[in-house]
Amino acid sequence: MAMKRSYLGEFEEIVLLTVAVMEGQAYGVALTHEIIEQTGRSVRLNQIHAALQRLEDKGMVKSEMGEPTAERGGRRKRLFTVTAYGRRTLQEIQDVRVNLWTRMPDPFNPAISL
Amino acid sequence: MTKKQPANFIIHCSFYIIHYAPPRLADRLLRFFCAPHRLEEVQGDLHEEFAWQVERIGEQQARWRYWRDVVGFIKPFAVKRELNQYPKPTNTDMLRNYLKVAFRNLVKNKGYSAITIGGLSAGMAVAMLIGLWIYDELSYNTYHQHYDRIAQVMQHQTVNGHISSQESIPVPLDAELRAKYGTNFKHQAMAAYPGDRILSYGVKKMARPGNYMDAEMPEILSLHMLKGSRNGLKELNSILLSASTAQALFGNVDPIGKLINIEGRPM
Repeated sequence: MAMKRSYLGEFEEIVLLTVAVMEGQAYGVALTHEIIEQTGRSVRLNQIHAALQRLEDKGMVKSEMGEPTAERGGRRKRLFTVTAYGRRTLQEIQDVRVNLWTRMPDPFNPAISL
Repeated sequence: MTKKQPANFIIHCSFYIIHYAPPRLADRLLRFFCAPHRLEEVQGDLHEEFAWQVERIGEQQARWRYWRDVVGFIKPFAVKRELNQYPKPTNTDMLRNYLKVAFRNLVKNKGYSAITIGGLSAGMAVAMLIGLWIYDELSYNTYHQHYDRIAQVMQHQTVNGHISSQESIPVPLDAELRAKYGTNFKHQAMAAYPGDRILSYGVKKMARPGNYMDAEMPEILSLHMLKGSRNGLKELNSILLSASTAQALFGNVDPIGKLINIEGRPM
């Protein structure tokens, strides 16, 4: 199946998934902390910003400025949401993986587990 | 189930935060390199992260971390300036647009362009040639101090109703001009026909263009004398040589007082 889509890097995929999970509340610091918590990686703010930038260029996320807060010195957040295109891309990635997992002759998990 | 609060019931909540500021120098660095349209979100995130890290690892550590995070943003994606969709025009923008449109029209209508440019260049070439010609005419013989007040006397002759003009004038005209119109001229001089004359000094012989002229001619032509004076021709059998001819005849020896032959006859 020749899919015409921009491919996602592994890190980009994680960021995109996290944006989807945090729907509406996804911005730089929150995403960084969430990804550190969920993956245990030492992720840094600039990496998240760069990935979000790439995702926005690819049209997988869109963003708008949110409300200013005190700990940000009255600066606004840039809040990200996944676009329909980004959602479909995630779905396609998932479909490919599920398809491959089901065809695996000797799955790591036994078919019947009790 | 939540109970509805009365609309005029306002909770006043005041609290104090011990506010640690991130390193100012790092902030200045960030402001310096970060693209203006990204600065707000980037700096806001950095400050929020700093506040969070102060709680987690203490102020000193957080300050170091802040530096590290700021430096981490020195990447093209953060530094690259936003392309303005409506850039502010400069003084030359309109002119550059004219040039661009002109060039595109030239490329589009190649035939007409060739005719136009060809015609213009032919016209310009002719105009420049005319200019050179006029310049030559106007600059010709301006070496002479009174070049605009020197005149050559010529004569008209009517033969069978046909007027012809010529340089040759009868010799008596000289005396006539001096007698009748002498007050109108400061100087007056007759000359023979110009042509090559053979000069010889010892065994050296050479042909040089020259002319037999009245003594006043050097004064009329305001010649720049390298040696001798403009009155030198007052003595009969004297010659006025150009520097190059004198050099050719005598070398570096002083030419004053030397005897040479002209057309085989002693001067």
